Amino acid sequence: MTLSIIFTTLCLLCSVAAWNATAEVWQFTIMDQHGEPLDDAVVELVSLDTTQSHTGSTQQATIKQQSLNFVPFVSAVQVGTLIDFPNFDRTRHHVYSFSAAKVFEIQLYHDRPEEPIEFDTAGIVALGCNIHDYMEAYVYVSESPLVAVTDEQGQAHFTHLPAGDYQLTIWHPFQQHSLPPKQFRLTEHNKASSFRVDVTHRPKQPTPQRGFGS
Amino acid sequence: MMFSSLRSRLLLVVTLLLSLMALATAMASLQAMKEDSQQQARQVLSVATNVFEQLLSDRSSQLSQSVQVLAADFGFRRAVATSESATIQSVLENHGSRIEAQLVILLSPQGEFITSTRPELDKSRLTGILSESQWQSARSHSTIQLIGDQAYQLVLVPVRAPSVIAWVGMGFMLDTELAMQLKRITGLDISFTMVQQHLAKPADIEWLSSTLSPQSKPQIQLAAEQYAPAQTEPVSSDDASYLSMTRPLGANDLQDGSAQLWALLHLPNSRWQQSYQHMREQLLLIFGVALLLALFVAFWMARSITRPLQRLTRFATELGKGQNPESLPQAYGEVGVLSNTLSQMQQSLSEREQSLIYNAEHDELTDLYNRRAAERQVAEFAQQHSGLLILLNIRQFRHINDAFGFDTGDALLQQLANRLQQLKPKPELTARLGSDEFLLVWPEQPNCMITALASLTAPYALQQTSITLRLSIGYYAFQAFQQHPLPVNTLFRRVDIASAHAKQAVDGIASYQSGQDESHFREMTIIQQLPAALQHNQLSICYQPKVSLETQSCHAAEALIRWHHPELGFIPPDEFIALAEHSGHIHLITNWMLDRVIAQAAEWASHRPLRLAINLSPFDLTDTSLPRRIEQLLLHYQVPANAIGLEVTEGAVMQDPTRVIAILQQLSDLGIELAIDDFGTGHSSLAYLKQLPVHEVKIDRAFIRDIEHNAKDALIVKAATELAHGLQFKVTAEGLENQAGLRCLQQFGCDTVQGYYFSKPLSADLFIEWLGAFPQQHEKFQVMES
Repeated sequence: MTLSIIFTTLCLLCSVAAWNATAEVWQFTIMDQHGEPLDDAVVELVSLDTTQSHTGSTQQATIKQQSLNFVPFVSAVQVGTLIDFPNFDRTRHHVYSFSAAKVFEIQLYHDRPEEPIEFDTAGIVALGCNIHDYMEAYVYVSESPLVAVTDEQGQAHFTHLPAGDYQLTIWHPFQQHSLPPKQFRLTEHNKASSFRVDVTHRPKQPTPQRGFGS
Repeated sequence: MMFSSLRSRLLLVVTLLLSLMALATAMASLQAMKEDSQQQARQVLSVATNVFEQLLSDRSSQLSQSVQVLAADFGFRRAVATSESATIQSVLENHGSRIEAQLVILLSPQGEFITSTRPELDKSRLTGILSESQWQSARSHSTIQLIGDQAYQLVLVPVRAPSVIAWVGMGFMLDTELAMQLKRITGLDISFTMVQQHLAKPADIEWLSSTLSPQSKPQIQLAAEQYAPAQTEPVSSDDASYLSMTRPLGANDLQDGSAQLWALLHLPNSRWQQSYQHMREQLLLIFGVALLLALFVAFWMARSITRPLQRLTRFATELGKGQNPESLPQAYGEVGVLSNTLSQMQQSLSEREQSLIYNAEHDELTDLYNRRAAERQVAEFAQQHSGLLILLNIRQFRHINDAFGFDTGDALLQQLANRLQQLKPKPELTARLGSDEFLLVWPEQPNCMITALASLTAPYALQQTSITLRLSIGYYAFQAFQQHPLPVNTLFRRVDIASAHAKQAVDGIASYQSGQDESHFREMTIIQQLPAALQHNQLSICYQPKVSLETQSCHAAEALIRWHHPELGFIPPDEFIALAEHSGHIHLITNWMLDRVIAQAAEWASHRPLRLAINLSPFDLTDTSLPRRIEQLLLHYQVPANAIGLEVTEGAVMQDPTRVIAILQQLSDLGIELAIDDFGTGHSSLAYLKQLPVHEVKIDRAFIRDIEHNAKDALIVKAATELAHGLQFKVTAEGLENQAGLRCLQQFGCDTVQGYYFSKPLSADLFIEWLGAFPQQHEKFQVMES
């Protein structure tokens, strides 16, 4: 119950922030090679202006195990973020990561792990469950706080960003090639820009049919 | 020539046909069997190949699953994720040994080589095992690959955590053990080969593993061309001991120098080759037995055909030779028809022969035996028996024929024949020898037979009239040949002689008298030898002077023929002239006489004039060429016509007066003096006498011989002389023997005298001598004057 209250509050906060930013909102639209909007793409901006400083507070994030799936599929967090892995299913999960950015393992647990995991190194962490091989989630750990994941419309929005030069990195778990970071200048004129990422489409966390033989 | 006989031809045909048939059957059967076997082999191979491929596929999925399970092992994943090569090496070996993989390789998610359990395999040889599309698909793959020098079934499985953090490949060798396993299931020998394809040179083929024994392995050297992916037909090994199906394993890139893996499934040929050979032997056996049987049957059949044919041939040959072959056995079919025909032919031949023999031995008209048969039967009969041989003739049968016609004559003969056959006792033989000549033979010699024959003279009823026959019967009683061997012609000749006598006899019956045969023989000798005797001048001529009473001189003579036979001695002229007239040889004598006498006349003509008279036969006077022949002879010897004279008998004139008178006239016209000989004894006709162109008549010696004692003779001579003188003929008296007779003749006025009183007939020399002495013999006339 408390969790849902917090979640609602968070959502509200976000929407207020979005609204606030409408005046200064930069919108990035990511599309696949067919021109279809691509969700779960990560857009990271790194300010090349030295004058800008990091927000120093410790961030928190949650990756749920719900209906035998990781939710969300892709998370983008800043280095040092603590991610909690609450289990909403009746089965236990064994969440692990062998990714170099963060190797960890939360062995068979119910409800909530004892403590969240701190993602202290930038990089991409692939999450799996040792009980359910199909379960899959990605955590993009970025140095920059300016990082977002595209929605169903393939859009990621950034607010309160000063205009200037940025290093733009786009990543998608199904991408065919890793895209090199590129210089990107944020001006009044390019508040909405779109990018293309070639992906190999596949089902996300395909839930196998119940029963043996799967 | 060799196959001319029916049997050999039949044998040849049967053998050829059967061989042809057997050959065709065998070839067809073997071909069908071969095709069938090949079809079977193909099918077996095809099924086995499918099974083989299915097995490999199954194995691949099994291995895939196993490897997937292994790759999903958390510990394995964690170890791989450590990136510590020692750890990774350990986990690869550990987990690889769990499923008995001979080779474990670890690749990066992008297919780059990381490490393997076989350190000798360097990175370069393992790069490219996983293609980009394969690693991008992130699914497990199973291939059969040549890694190093070894073929592996390689299963490549992504290691997920949960994204692909690596690829693990596990290789299972395609070794002999696997081949043995597959062999157990497919039932065929299986080999794995490596083929190195070269563009320029022949491909290298290396045997990797095989279930075949090392001995048979080298025999299956399949050509590189047979390692083609499109090759779906099985190929035969060099020595045809195996039929093999080649299947490519793994990728089918045929680049130059690239090695390719192939699986071979071997089906031993021996299996169907054995049955092929077995069948071939069986066919050979069947054919051999059938051929033997057929030959036997053909031989038997040919024999059953040729044997009756040979028998028929023999039969026909004997028939042709006139022998009487034994009758043919019963036969059927065509041979039967032929043999029946031959038998009928034999029968009709023998019938015809019988009829020919009958006709040859029997008289057509009377059905009695003919002469030939009679001679044969009499000869046979006379061998054993004595008997009576009777020759019977109808007198004047020619007149009956002339009077009543030949049909009546024939009917009469038939009736007579019937009566002869019905005589009692029955004759042993009744035969008709000639036109009216019948022969009868009785076994004994009963004289009553002659009287029995009297019944034959009873009147014969003919169509218009009835005739009574007069028969002449000559008979001869003969002895059996055993006692007196005589040739059968002697019997016939003797009865013939008897018959000839019978014809002369008044009662018409004559028996053969012993000796008749000899006189007959003498006549035959004379007739036969006369022509040669004339030719060799065995005969001679004598001259009897004709003396003129008025001049008491001799100026003429009669030429008389003489024959002194070296064996028979002197033959009277009457005898041989009569025989010559009968046998038709008289012209030879006449010609000879004319030639000799005219020659003699030519010789004497220079000394003194003599007229030589030659006797002509009545037969000569029917020859119209006679005057011309005489004329030529006169010319030839240059003798005047008055140097010869010709004497003819009155009988000669009577036969054909007109012609004879014409010929005599011709002779007279030549200047030859003609005389009538034997005047007064023949059938003189005074009517003709006056017509005859003759100059002289010669009064027969019968009137002269006894003229001085017999007043009647004297009267006849006197009258005849006066008659002749009245007709202007000169008169010659023949046969004057004494002086008393001469006196009578002088008294009657005879012109010329001929006789022994003056001289007997003399040879030419003696005649000339006598003639020289004659003028001194006046006393012969003087006695008369005294």
